[in-house]
Amino acid sequence: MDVYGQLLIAGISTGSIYGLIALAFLIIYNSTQIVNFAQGEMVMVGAMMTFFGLSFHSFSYLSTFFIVIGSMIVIAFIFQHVLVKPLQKQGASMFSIIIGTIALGIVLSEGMGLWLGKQQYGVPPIIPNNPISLGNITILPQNLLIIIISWSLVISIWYFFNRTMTGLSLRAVSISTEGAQVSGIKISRMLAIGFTLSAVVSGIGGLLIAPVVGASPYLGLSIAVKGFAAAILGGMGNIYAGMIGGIIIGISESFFSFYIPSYAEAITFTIMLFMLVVKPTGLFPEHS
Amino acid sequence: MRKLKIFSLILVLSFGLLLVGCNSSSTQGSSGADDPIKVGYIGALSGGSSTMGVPGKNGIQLAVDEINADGGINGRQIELIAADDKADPATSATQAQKLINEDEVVAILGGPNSGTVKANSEVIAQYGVPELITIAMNDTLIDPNSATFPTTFRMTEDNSYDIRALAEFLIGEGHQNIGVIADNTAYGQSGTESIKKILEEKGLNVEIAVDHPVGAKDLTAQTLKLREANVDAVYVFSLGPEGALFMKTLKQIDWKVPVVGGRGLNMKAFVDLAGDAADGMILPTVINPNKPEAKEFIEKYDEKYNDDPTHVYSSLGYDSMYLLAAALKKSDGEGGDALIEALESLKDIPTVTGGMDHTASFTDDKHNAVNENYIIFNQVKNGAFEFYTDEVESGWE
Repeated sequence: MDVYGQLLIAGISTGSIYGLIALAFLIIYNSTQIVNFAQGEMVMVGAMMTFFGLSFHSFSYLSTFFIVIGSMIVIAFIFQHVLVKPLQKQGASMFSIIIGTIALGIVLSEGMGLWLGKQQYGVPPIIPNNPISLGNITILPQNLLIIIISWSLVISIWYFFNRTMTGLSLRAVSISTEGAQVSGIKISRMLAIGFTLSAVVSGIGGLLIAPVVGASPYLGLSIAVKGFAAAILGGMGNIYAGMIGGIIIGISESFFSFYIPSYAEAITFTIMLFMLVVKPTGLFPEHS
Repeated sequence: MRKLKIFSLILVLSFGLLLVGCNSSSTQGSSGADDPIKVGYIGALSGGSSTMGVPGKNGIQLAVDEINADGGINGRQIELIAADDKADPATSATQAQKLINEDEVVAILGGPNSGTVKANSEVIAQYGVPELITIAMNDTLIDPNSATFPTTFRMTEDNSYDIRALAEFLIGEGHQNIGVIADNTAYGQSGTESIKKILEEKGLNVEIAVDHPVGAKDLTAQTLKLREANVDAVYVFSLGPEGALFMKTLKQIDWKVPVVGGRGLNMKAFVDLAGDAADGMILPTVINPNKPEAKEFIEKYDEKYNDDPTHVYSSLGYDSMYLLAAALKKSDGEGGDALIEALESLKDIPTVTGGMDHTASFTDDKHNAVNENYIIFNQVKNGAFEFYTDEVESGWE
C-alpha cells in the first residue's frame, strides 16, 4: 500500500510543478493569445536567481525571494516593451511574436550562462531534507512545499481573475480588446499586469524547483515541454485546468516509471497526443 | 571620407602584418630552437561538463607554468592552447582540426567527455598527432583493435577499472545482490552493461538495473523498484543532479541501503543538492590527501584556482601534462612518431594522483598510463567528500 501512496505523492509533487508552469503559460495565452515559448527560460531565470542569491551571495531565503521576484518583474518588462509592444506597433503577425518568444528564451539562456556560468549548480533546500511522515508514507519538506505553494498560487490567481476588478478587467481585455478599451480599461497597463503575473509565477516555479534539480541556464526546455503538455491536456482556454493536467501527467509518469519504466515518457506523451486527437479543447474547456 | 581612408589604411596595414606573421611562422615551422612548443587541450570549458573541463585545463596550466619556470623542455617553453568543445562531438572534431592545422600543436590533451574524445581522437589519429586523454573514462577510447590506438594515450583509469575496485569492495562488505541505477543515455547504459558484466564475473548478482531520463525531477518509482528487489547495496551510475535526487529519495523512504557510486559524482553540485542525504556513500577517486605529493598539489592548486573541491579533474590534468612533458623531453620537442615513441617508452613516472607509490607507464601495447593500486575511496560525510581508505584492490585484468 505504501508503494502506491509513495508513487502518488511523488506524482502530485512533480505534477504541481508542471501545473505551475502551465498556469504561468496560460495567463499569457489567455490574456493575449501569445504562446510564450520562453516560459521555460523564465523558470530557469527564477532557478538561477535562486542560486545567485543563496549560493553565490549567501543571502537569506527572504532576500533571495525578493531578488527572484524583482528579476521576474524586469523580465516581464522586457517581454512587454522590448518584444511584444514594438512588434505589435509595426503590425507584426502573432506568428512573428511567437517566434520572438523563442528568440527571447535563447537570449535569456545564453545571457544567464555568460553572466553566471554555464554549469549545473546545486542549491540548498528551503527546509532541511528531514522527511515528514504522513501515515506510512513519507515526503520531503521541499516537495510538500512545492505542492502547498503551487496550489495556493492557483487559488490566488483564480481569486484575482474572478473576484477583483483588475482581474476581471484583464479577462475583459482577453475577450475583446476593443470592447475593453471603450469601457475605459487601460490595455497596456492590463497587459503589464498579465505579463508580470505570469513571470512571477514562473519565477516562483524556478525558486521551488532549484533545490530539487539544481540550477543551470539550460533547464528551461525540459520543464517547459511538460508545462505545455499539462496546459494542452487540461485545456488551453482554462487557466486553472493546466494544474489538473500537470497532476495527471505527474502521476502517470510516476506510476508508469514503476511498472513499465522504459515506456514511461513515451506513454505520457501518447496520452497527450491521444487527447489532442479526441478532445482538442482539453479535459476542462472553459464554459463561457 | 577621411575617416574611411584612415580606416582602410589601418586595414591594409594590419592585413600586411598578418601576412608577414604567417610567413615567418611557416618558414620557421614549429621546430625553431627558441619557439615555444605548442600543446593543445580540447575539453568542455562551458556547459554542464565545464565543472570537469575547466579544472582539467587549470591543472594543465599549473603544470605548464611549473615546467616553464623550471627551464621548459630542454630550454624551450611550453605554450598551452585550450579549445572549448562545449561537450559537443562535432565541435570537438573541428577544434582538433584547428589545433593541428592552424596552431600546429605537437600533441593534444583530451578532455572529460568520452563522446567528444572519441570524435576528436579519430581526427587527430589521421594526422599522426599523439593525443593524451586526461579525464574521459569510457573503456573503448583505448582499444588495441581501433584505428585510433597508435596515437591515443590516456592518463586516467577507465570505467571498468573503477567497477572492478568497487566490486572487490562490495564483496569485502559481504554484499551479494546489487541494484544499479543509471540514466538512459549512452553513458549510463554502457556503464550499466559494464557493471553487470564485471560484477557477475566476480560472483556477485546484479538483481535489478533501473534507468531514468537526464533531468528527471523525481526518482521515487525507480527507488521503490530497487527496494522491492530487496538488494543488499546500490551502485549509482547517474550524474550529479539525479544522483543527489536518488540519495534524497532514499532518505525520504527511510531505506538505509549501502550505496556506491561512479567517479563522475565527485562534484560540488552533487553534495550541494544532496546535502546530508548522501552521507555514507562510497565513491572512487584518484587523489589521496595523505600522499605528500597530492597534498602539495592540492595546496598549490587551491591557492591559484580553487574551483575543484574533489581535485579529481585538476590533478588528472596536472599529471597528464607532466607525463607529456617527460615524453617531450625525450623527443626533444618533436611531435609525430618521435613523440609517440617517447610516450611508449615512459616508465615509472611519479604521479600526484593514485595510491602512495603509484607511478605511470606506457608500453607499445599499453596506452593506459595507470598501473596497479590507483584508486582511493572517498566517503560523503556531512555533505562533503572525505578520504575513506586507500587500501583498495584495483588493477587491470
